[in-house]
Amino acid sequence: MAEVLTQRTPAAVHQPEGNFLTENTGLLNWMFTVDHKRIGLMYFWTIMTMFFVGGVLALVLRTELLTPKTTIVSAEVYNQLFTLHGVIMTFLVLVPVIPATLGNFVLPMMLGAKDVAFPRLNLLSYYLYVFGALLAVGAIIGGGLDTGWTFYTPYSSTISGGVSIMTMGAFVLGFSSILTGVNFIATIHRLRAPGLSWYNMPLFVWGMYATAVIQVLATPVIGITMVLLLMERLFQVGIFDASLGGDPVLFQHFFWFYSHPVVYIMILPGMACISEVIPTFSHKPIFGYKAVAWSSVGIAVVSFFVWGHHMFVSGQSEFAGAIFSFLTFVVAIPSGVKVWNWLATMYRGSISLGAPMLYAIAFLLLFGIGGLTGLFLATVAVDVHLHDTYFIVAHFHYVMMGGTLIAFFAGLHYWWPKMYGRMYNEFWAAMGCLLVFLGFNGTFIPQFIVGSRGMPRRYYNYLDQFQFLHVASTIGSYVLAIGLVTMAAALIVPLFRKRYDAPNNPWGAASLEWTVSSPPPTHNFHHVPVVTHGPYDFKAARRLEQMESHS
Amino acid sequence: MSDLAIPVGGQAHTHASHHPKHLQHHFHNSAQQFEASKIGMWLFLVTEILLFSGLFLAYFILQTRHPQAFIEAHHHLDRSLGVLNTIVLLVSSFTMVMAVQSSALNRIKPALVYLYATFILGGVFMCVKYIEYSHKIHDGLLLGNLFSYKGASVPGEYLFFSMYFVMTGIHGIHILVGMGVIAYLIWRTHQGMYSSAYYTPIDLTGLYWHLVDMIWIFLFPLLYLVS
Amino acid sequence: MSVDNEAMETIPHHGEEVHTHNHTKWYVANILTLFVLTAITVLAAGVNFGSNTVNLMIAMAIATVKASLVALIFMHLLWERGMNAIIFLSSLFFVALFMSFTFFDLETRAKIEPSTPSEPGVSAGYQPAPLPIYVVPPKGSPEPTGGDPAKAAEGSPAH
Repeated sequence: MAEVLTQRTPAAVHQPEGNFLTENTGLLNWMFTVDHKRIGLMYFWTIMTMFFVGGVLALVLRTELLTPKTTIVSAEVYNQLFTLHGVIMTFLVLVPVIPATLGNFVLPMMLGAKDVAFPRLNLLSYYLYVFGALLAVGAIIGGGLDTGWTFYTPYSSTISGGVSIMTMGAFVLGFSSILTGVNFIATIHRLRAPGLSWYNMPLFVWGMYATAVIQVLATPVIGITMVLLLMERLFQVGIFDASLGGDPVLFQHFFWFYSHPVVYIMILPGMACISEVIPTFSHKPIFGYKAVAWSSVGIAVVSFFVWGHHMFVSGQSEFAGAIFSFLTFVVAIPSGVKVWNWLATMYRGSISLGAPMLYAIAFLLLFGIGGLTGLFLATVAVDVHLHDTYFIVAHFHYVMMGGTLIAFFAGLHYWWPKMYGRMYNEFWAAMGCLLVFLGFNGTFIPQFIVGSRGMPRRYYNYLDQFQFLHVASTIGSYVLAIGLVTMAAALIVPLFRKRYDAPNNPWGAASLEWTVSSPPPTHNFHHVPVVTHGPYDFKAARRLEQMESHS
Repeated sequence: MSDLAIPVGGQAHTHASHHPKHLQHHFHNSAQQFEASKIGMWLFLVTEILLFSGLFLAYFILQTRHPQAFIEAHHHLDRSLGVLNTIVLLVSSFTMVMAVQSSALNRIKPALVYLYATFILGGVFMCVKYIEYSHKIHDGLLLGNLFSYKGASVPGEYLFFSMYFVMTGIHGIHILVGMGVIAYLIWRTHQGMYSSAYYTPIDLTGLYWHLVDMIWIFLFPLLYLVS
Repeated sequence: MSVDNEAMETIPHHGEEVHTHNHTKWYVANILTLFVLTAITVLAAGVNFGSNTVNLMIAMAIATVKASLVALIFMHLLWERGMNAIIFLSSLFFVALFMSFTFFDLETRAKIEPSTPSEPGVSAGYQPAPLPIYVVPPKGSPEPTGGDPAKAAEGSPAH
């Protein structure tokens, strides 16, 4: 200890009144900030803008599907809209939403660090995201891209339009994602506070670590895939073209080697949020800390073994299909470990039903449905029937929205007081959660049914007998939209009301970010914190807090 | 808790005496900053390896499907130029690692010489590549639909040249980027920015340069020695 | 106050850098070995070891040895803390995974599309399409510069 103490000449310790929101304001200070908290907030508002656009597109699509024929948009526009919806929601919202916003904001504080390891790369990652987003959205709107978000060859390599620009956009976005991943891994390895051993880290950090591993390992492959697709379009190099000696299914291998793990880039951070919310709101240490921690890493590794389950009916060999099917079932094990540990944490806990906990419970239900229907689809014989139907659409919305985004909302309500120093409105947040939950199920349960009856995805027209379920789904989506607006209001309106001022630790949580003021000071910690208790040792945390307030 | 914590000053940065210029505010000391940068660089190298793995996979698949075309087409490459470039890159790796070691030992003059040598060797590599490329372009031995070589006999020879140009092209871009970074290092070394206390950029560039060399070690037999 | 040793490690006590050893001899020996291995690669390419695949595998094995030498000595993995080596090796694991599963699919396609090989050395089940000598761009081939709305509108396929 002494050696650490002598590292620094103690400077005049002064307590600044300001915080990261009030110091050095002004547009330029924000634009060129390297403060992880400000970058987190910039990411947050940018991503929320994209989420709003993607959500409006979803409403347009659902409205179009009210009738079996043309309702409000033409078939070509419909194809472009679902492509735009898919690209925005996957590449621009789901991939960065938790790591780049909540992760950037709280991860360094959880580690007792002043910033991430490479703050300037962090800022670069944000601007790459903005640039990539402009390229991608511009390509789709300007070039009328209608390939869907998967850009399968040979269609994508032979049509005209914005595919080339879009591939560059995906490349740039990949870079942004890689920079976040590199930053997090280096930060977690090298910037932990004294006393913060691996098993003393909050599970959120473990989840971020696993996510970052996937970001670093998988994202480069989409980069090279996009380069090869570009080459294919420019020079017909033949790699993905069967008539020239290549293999179009090879494109799918390349694409899904990235894009299946990317599903776990989306869901692991969601699980990470839930692992924080559930123990805090159950007032009970997490059950099976090591199991939850290592299952994150397990999911990250196993996620690389399963990409072939997207290609069961694409001409992949049936042997490979059987192997990939088996491996896909294996992923259910670490996911199951997590769910059971969360339930065991809640069991006989003293549960308070704040909005984060409501969202966490919604997550358990929705992710349960999403995960289990995934097992149906992992079964080759069943998948042959369900592939490319609305069943798939419903399944991945349950995992992506019901999993990742609901978990994000849980985390957002949980850390909102830390981000802005204001609580949200508890009643309206609960109402928002209820409406989101009802609306979400109303939207996608009908899609499970219509899909299992054979309604293909991405179709503009459909048979008359499906109309009832489509109308039900559309009504559900409107309820969902109202729920999201309610949630936004419950979060944003209190920002302008003094009486919602948040204390440093409104939930009685035990990790380091709650030991600093809300909102945190610019450099997070006035002293390097020394960690003396576990991240879920709520009693020890309360004792320390009381000691501090007495002294 | 506060009695144990280490005061590091607020946002004022008044703790000057043990705070060298290169040390960023969020690190405790130079060693921590160095180790963090190093791990970051290795992670970046991982992304590079996976990026190239896609190219290698595409090569292997096309090669196993069209072995005759690949054997026939690779005869158009000049093996001796390939060997020359391999040697050039290996030597440049040696000069690079010597530059890193010299700066670590605070021998800045030799470090500068080695950096210049590495830069020049990179340039030599690119010149040889230029000679090879212009020869291929002249003969119409090009990628995809640009392939127009009159003497082509085996169907699908363009596939080999597709892979050749994409792989060596992306590798060449990496060499150029490396040369750019080395030029920057030379400039900063002239300014006296680096010493044994702080040579992280040279060390990291070294790692990058070796990786690019490593990739060429695989490219060379795949492209020049198919048979 | 028990402070975990492992985490303390994240704040190293020494301000000085660690790599002050002189490794010049290692580097010289390494570069000479690499020259020799390059010569062996070229010579081995001239020998017929039975089949194309065996020759390729031998060439790749030598290249792997060369790359390992570069990583261990030039990139200091031999003397460094283990984490960087773990990171590096994990990338190779995932590369192997990527390649082997993809190959596994391509090599077992025979079971659903049985046919006879037409070229020597081609895997049993795969029937390569008769390839052209030159790539003739098909009519209405893609305009490389996408993003022009007017062009895209006419090119947009009808459904």
